[in-house]
Amino acid sequence: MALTRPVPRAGRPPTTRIPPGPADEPAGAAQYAARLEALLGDPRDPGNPYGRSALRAAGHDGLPAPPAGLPGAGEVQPAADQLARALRPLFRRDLALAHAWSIRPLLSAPMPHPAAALLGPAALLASASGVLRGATRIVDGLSRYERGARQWRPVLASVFADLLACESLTAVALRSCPDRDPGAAGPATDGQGPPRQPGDSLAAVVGYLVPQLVGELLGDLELVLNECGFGDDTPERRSLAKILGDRAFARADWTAASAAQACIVRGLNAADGSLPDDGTELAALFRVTEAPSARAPGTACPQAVAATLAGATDRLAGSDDADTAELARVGRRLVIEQRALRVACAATAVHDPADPAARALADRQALLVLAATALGVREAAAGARLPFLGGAGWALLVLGRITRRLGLPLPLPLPDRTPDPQPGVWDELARRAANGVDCDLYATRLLW
Amino acid sequence: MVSAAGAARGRTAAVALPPPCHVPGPDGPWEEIQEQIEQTGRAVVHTTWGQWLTPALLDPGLRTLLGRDWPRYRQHPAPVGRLSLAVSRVVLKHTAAAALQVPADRLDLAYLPGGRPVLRGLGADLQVSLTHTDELIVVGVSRAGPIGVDAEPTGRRISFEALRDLVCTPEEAELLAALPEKERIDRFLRLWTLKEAYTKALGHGMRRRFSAVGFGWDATGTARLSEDTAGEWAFATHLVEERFLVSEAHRQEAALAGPGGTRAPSLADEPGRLPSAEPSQGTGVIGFPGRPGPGTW
Repeated sequence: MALTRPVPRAGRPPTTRIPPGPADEPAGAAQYAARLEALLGDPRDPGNPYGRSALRAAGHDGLPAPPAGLPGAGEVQPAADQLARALRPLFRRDLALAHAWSIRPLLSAPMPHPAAALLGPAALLASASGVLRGATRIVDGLSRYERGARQWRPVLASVFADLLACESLTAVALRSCPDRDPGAAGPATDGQGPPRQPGDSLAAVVGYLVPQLVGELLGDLELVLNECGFGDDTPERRSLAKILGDRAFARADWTAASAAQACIVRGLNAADGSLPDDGTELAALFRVTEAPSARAPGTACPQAVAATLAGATDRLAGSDDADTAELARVGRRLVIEQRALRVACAATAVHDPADPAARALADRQALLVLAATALGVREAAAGARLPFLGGAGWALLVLGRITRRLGLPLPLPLPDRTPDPQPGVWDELARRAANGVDCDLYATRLLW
Repeated sequence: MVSAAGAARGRTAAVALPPPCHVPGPDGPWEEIQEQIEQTGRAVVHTTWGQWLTPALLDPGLRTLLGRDWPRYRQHPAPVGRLSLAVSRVVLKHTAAAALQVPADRLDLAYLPGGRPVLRGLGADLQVSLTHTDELIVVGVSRAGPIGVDAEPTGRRISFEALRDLVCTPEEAELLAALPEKERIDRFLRLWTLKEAYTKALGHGMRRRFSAVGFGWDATGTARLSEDTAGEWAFATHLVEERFLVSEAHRQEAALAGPGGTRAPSLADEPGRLPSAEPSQGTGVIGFPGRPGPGTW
């Protein structure tokens, strides 16, 4: 299966297929992504049919066909997370183009790719990261001679941390998808619809949470750009407006999110206390820089992922590092919240997706899964000696914001330890923006 | 969540927003709220916390109703602030419950990191805004796009000279400076509440520079956002209880599914069906007799 397909009505398939290496290995995905980015050309070039100005002018009905020489993956069906990684240059370029070339074909094929439903949120994240890099360059530049611009650094650092958390959640959901043979994992059914794959319920958390959170983050980015003097008619604001307008097209808007929320509600009391809580079975899912390993079907349900919070928090205890120690304190608060949520969920036999109280429980469940995946990915990255992703700073920022979203008070500051993770996260963000590095989990170097 | 609905589809011209409804207690009456939701996709309620205080505090379900706000209520250092916090949240939940036609204790009030109140898990299905000043409480709810409300006492004395550069665009400041003092203060206060309402609807609050948000006025005296060329936004300012200015900002989007799965009609569906022009009891539309033409004060 090719990673991208021509637009159905555009009618011109890629004329040359150059098989890359196996796309189910990280290196293969990275190589494919590099080729794809090169073929898409410079996004700032006004003469490039895949440039931003041409795509803005094209609208949804006039999107260009894929470039000649677009590499395909032959008959190889890559692992889901590698598929998303390979397609990220396309996602980053334009949400509508991503939908037309890859998401829609993968969704509408006779046997939809198991990851297809996750690609809309993945594409939304990739496109938002482009706006973040642009806003960061602007604020970084202004900050050198305009002190007032520095007030936006913490805002952008928080956006970066939240995006990394959403990337972690999406990567874990993608890694929990069955690959190659969607039937091999043994589809389950709830008797109310088509067979469910094991990763479905985790995909529902992604489908519910990512469109909402990224929507909020895009609002913050719009604020920063506006306050830095970039009005509606600037390329930066037009790019942002296009993403907002394309969300429904890519099935990453509130309508899609509320449908995903209904899936979470129906699964709220799917697990009843017999959950692993040390992350042992799920640890492989968090190692996002490695190829996914075989996994027992069903282990990646939201409750199981949220239950890893306890073990991950325990392993943070006793650290001398101020950020890590604070991360453990915030983590413990979330572990208590997770236990309270399980009790609340178990109090009702059947949750109704139309009940606002059940929808609130689903929201809390989703936020705890987000926290657990952020902690899990951070811990795995620390083990792999990835300096920024394995550090506590970004995760502390994320967990603090999740705690506030849950309406929980943050732990009282310790008298001699008041860690502030924002400056460190900002420094990493500013470095990436200045050096042409993506705001993704892999710190991918960009061509353009 | 910001929206690009205006960029995605055509828009009808903004329609006048009906005035806030007075609701004296948890028992309502709520019919007018439901009617406004059906007709315009949004509704605004006003009351005083003294009217709701007794039923709110005597409600055995108050702790459930306040949810995560319960510790804030219990630990608030000032008695008046404590009661105001409790009653304003109770009013908000009952108003939202009336709009959704569900029991109030099924709703969970949450706050985004920037402080914006949201109903947990309901997303764009129902957006809310809350303001209180002195004894007045105002709640805006919308099933069809973001909403923001703000209120100030009409008697509030504010210094135009001290605040003009923070609140006004240069054009607004120039026009206000040319007015007699009483009229200047009145219009300055109205402008301030409009900008508060607008930035609250965006979810930005005072992080957004008011001096970069320009308003103009059409021939009827209705506020128009200068940068809103697509006509997405509707604004209104009403006099409530004869001593409070209440401003509302609403971005009109297609209404979402209503109770029972029916889609609540939006203003765009029925462009000819305007809300009642009669203000509710205790509410008056702010008028500016002798207003000059569009684009001026």
